[in-house]
Amino acid sequence: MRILLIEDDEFFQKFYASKLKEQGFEVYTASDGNEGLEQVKKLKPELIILDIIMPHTDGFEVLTALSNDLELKKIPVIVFSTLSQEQDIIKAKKLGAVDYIDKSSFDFDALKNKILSRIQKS
Amino acid sequence: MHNKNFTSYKELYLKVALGNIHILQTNLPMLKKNQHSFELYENMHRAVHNLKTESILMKYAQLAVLCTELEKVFVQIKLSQAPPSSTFFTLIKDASSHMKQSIRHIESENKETNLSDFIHHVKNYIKNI
Repeated sequence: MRILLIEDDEFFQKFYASKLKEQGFEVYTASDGNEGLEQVKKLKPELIILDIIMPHTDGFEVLTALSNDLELKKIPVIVFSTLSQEQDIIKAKKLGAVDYIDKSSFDFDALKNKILSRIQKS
Repeated sequence: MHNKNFTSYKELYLKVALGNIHILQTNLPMLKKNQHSFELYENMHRAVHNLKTESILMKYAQLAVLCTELEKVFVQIKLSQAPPSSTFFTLIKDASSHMKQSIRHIESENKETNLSDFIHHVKNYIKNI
């Protein structure tokens, strides 16, 4: 299963990519929103894990771009951020995110379960 | 207490943390010359934000708290839309220095330095913005 992780911070990109690969997922990464959108079009991943605070094109802008594409909007997106503020969760979900994980309260089992749940639904 | 599950990621954390502190240190003098640059504020705010999250994950609580307070400083500066004071520049410069020292201490002694006094100083600064 192909997962695209769009995350600008090198630590979190490598940390979560390696954790997901340990679980058997095929993981691709992008370091900003623009690169992420290019990768989405190229790879057509089964799931996207998307950070919000990124340079140039942030996560909200990526969600908007995905929702404007008939094919890409079908790819489930889990928003991954430390912005554990209710208005950001609401905004992300309005823009099409299917779920949200606060990366500052790291719970890899919860993330894995959310990923597997999304795959089963799609 | 450092969680041993994340020990293997310590080297990566140290490298990236120093990188984020470097962003603060290099952007600060540029911001002094161009105080209306949104991009420079965003670069620095993002560096602090990332360092905060990394430190939370790695259980370096004092660094995480300091970064949380520094984020509030950046938010306040953006909300006020006024050029930052000289105190701001001194604060960020000192914060970078303290954080770098702490990272080096983690590297050599496997624990953070005591940042409580400086955290208190930042909190007082925020109250007076």
